[in-house]
Amino acid sequence: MDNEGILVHQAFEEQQDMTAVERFAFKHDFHQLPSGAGPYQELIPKTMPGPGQQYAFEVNLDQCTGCKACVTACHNENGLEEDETWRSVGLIHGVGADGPVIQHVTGACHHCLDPACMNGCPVKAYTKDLATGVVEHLRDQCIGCQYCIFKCPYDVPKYNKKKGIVHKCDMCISRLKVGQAPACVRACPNEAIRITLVDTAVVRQDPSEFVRIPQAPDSRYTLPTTRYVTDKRLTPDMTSMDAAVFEPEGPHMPLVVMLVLTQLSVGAFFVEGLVNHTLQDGLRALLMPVHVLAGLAFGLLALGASIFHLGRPLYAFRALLGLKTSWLSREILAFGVFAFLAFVYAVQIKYAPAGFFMREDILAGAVLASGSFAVFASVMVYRDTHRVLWDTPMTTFKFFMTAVLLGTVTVMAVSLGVCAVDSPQNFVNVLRAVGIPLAGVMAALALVKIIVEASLFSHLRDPRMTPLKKSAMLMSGPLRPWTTQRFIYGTVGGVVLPLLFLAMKDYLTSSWVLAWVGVMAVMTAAGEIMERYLFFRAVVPLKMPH
Amino acid sequence: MVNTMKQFKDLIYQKTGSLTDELALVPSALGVLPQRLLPDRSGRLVCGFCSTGCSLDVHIKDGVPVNLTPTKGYPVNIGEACPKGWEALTPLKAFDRAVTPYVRKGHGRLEPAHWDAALRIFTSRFKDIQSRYGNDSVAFLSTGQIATEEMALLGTLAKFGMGLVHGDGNTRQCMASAVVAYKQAFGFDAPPYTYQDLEESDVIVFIGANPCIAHPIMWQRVCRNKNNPTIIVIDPRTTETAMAATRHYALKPKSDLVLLYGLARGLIERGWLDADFIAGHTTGFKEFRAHVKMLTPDHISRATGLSEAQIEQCVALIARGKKVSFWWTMGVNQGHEAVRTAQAIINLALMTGNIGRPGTGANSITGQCNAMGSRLFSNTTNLLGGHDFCNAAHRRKIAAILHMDEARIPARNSLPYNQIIEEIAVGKIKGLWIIATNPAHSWVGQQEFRQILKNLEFLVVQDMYHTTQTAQMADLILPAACWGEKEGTMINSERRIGLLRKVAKAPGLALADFLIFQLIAHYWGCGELFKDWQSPEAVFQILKEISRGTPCDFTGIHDYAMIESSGGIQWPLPEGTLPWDDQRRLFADGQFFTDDRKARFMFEVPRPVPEDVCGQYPFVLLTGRGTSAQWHTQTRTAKSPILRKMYAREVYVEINPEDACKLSIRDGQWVYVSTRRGEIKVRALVISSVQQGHIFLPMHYEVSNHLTLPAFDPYSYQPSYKMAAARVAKVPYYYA
Repeated sequence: MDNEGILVHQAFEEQQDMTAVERFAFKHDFHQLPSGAGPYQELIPKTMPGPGQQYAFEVNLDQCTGCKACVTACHNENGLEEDETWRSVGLIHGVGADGPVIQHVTGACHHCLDPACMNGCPVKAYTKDLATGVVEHLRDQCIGCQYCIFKCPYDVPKYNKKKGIVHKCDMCISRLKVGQAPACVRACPNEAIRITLVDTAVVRQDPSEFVRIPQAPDSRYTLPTTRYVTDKRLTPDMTSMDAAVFEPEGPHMPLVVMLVLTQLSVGAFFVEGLVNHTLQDGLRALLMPVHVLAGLAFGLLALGASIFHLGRPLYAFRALLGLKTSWLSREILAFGVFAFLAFVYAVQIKYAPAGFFMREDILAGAVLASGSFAVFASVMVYRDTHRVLWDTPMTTFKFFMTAVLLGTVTVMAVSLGVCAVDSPQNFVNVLRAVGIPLAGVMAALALVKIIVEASLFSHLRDPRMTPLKKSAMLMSGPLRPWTTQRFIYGTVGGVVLPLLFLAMKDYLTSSWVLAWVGVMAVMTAAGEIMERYLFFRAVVPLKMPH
Repeated sequence: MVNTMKQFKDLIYQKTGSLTDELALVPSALGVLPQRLLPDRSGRLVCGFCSTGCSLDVHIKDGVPVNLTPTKGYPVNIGEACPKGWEALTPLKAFDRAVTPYVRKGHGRLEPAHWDAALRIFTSRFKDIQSRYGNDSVAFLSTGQIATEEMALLGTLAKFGMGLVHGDGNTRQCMASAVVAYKQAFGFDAPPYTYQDLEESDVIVFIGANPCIAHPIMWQRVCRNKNNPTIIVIDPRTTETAMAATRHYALKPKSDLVLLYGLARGLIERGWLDADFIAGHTTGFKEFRAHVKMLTPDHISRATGLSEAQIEQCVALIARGKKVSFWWTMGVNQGHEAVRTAQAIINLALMTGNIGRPGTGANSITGQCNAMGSRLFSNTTNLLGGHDFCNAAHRRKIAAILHMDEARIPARNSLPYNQIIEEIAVGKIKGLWIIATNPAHSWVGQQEFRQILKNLEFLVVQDMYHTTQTAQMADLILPAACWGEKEGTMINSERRIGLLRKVAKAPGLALADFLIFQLIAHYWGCGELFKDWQSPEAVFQILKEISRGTPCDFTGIHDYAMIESSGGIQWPLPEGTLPWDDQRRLFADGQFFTDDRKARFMFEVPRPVPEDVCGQYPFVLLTGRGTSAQWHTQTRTAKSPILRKMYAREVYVEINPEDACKLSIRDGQWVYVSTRRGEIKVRALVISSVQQGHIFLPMHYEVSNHLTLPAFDPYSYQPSYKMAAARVAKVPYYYA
């Protein structure tokens, strides 16, 4: 090595040498807090909450200048993942009596009296601490279903993909327990955040006094306990930074598949019941087992798909613990019962003599009843989030229409399919008795569904920035490729092809019929998948203004 | 059996376990901390972002930095930090750190190279250029982001070792106007204040400053003020600071000089002056009085857009204060008559005797973490330690201290930044060495600048990332170790010398700037000159000697350990000063650094703005800080996913609702913003915090400087980023 090479090497050695750390570093007796009262004592209560009280955040908005130190301090002091934050700071703005107003709003968990996250949790992974009122999340109990994220109107629980569970703010309860201020409280340079004691009766009496921020969700939903105080007048017409710039939500593909296929399954049993009533015994014996098996198969496939939604699928069996409060638990139970009954029904139809388990019509009725309740439970799972796109009428309409539409398509397709394979001589009969009527029904259903769905776009003309307008903007903006596909598949596969099919029915050979129906079925199903995909992506969640 | 029962119970309902423990917190000497990240030691260093100079305790576990907390007892930040400080370790771990030198090969691509090869190319190419075009055909652009010792070594190596004449720093973009203003008025570049003044004032005036966002930890001191101070904000925009103020005067952009003269006029008219102080400690007041008298209240009101009553009220508020402090930052410094504007602020402090006492002062808040170190020791505009290249006695003094031949010290001043660029444009400067700054993003009129850089024969960029806009244009990239990976000192806004410690290993082959400069000295063949410059701490001792007897004399500081144990030390601290206060301000004795020890009233007739609005470009384009989570060109802050969550992903322009309505622009819509320099596509943020006729563009996005106007203050040569004439138009639906 020449002289210069040695110099480079020496420089490198010097750069990599970390022994200096030893010289200057402070070595502490870790595992013990420094003696004396912690700093920021005046920002936390001197006593534990008494009866009828709980801990709560209080934010002095006049001190919050938007530096966002609280967000990073919470991140660091709680050792969160690289991109994980439990607190966020939004900005609202408008014009007040004295001119322009801009106001930053820091927020984390509001430790509600009636926590939506807790009520929705299917595995009871949330508890509300009796002594402190802190809404705590039991990380080891969580199965990662993320329903709490849908439920929380303040966007508080955060999904941790690596761990497969949710994380959330616990008001640094382990700091409070040793007389230390929470990370955000101690990190605010302006002392804008403090912990106070609130009387729960006051919260119940006048929820609107809490989280009283323009554009914030209605406090009556969960009874949040954070109080925002300010001398400024924040008028309701103030707007937020994210009012006009917003992005689609995540797609939740397993849920898309699960919803569409469970509904298909329930719908298949419904349509099967109607159709098989009208059929002669011969055709009935040929088709009914296939209808029932198809319904069952799609149902099981759907339930299997739903497992992929969970961060910790191995613990899925915990999901019934929340029956008392959680529609998700109820949905899971209902589909479990439906699948069981459908299985029994299918076994009886296919393999056992008539009435082996139960009278057929009673069993069919039970399958249909449990299935309908399960779809209703699905509706409730989503409407219970208070998200406007997911409100009861529209969600009920969509879910039950998907059920009947795809049930119709399935029964039609498998009828013709099985007939072509097993009993070609009956093909024309099946086409007359099942294929043609159902194609008509299908076209009508699909048309109605598409029109009702398209009515969302009327909100684009709304001068106010409502959640439905935002959904419509998302669908016509960043989600346009999927929206386009949804409407093409829905109209072509669900309406145009069936009508053409009816018009040309007398000129088609059986293989043409099969291909035609196959294309109709696949396109319609794809259209429904797209509809449900957009259902998740175009929804505007409730959250604090940002 | 019990165990099995528990396991079964856990299977159904598990309250604790590994996932719970993952985030468990435990008490420790540094507070309640995550168990997973519990350190075995900690290292203390000042933050490397802004000039506030907060101290951070980096938690070290098994030799690796894992976390940090702001230092509790440090006199600057008192246990607090802004988001950038909290996230200071994240940019170190970025995937695009330069871990090896890169050389641009014949086919135009940057390829990894060994240090030895890189340094040989460095010397041979620069020497070749110098041999063909003269020594001054190579220049360097320094920074406010590296340690003082490194800046000093760079400046000394470049000018006395390599024979360069022209070198300037990116501090030209933020502080130059304050420097010139102080030098002319006080006789030395000497911000007089200490942060404690913010706690002690009863009237605080912010001019062109938004500390709530740009310097949150200084704003903390305002919040701690127990005097219920009157806070006056002079700013065209309703900023966070304006919201928090007692009175906000939303003046017309760049009418600040007229307003300040108007305030002076009002004070003089009412006789609200400190006549004793003026007589005893200043010169030029009579001329100044005559000067401001020429401005009529009506003219002032029309020029500033404020009513005469508003101006009267502001005058009264200032006069009523017993301890009035005036603070300014980029809103003033980045203007076309910035030096005179800063001096108009200084004049207000002088005429009311608000200087030298607690809670007073004409105080420039600095930008970068070590802008103050750069101002004193970068050896660019000034000869080391605030000396003058053109002064033979100064050259002799420095040469003696450095044991160098006096002839090595150029007897002429360096060209300022903008003129270095002009020289590149006309082909006089052919080689450029850029250290720790990103002008291909930040320089005013960026597109033209990028074109001009192409005239260079050889461009070297020394940076911690190989992906900055400037590095991507380089012929040679030298990978630098960054903040936290090296030692040295920095000087903050209040003249406090703080310490940098090495707490992290540099990635790959990256080397501290100090080591790179040492190697270059050897490869250049001038290593002998720097045989005393063995370590940053050795250089600190040299700089101490240079400071002896100057206004910034810090010969009283023994070594780094003393800085560390004292919580940083403000200059001056001449040898033998004992004891000293950790909150010191200048001019308590009314003695300034001018020859006659008196402060000067400096003033001039306000000039028209270089580019006024017109029919074609009807909007005033303002630029500035977006959020507290963004720093300059975002080379570092964009590396943190946490900081990224705190600002808009896409560039936006703020526009008043009335203007938006007229142009039928909706909130969130894409619009074109154009000036005579270019056109950019951005989202509209319809917000009333900007006045009608103004638009505001955050400076951190690359496109912002497509639009800014390359106009410069005639004394400081600082670019005027704050005002340009612009046009806004809706992007047609199909292009959105």
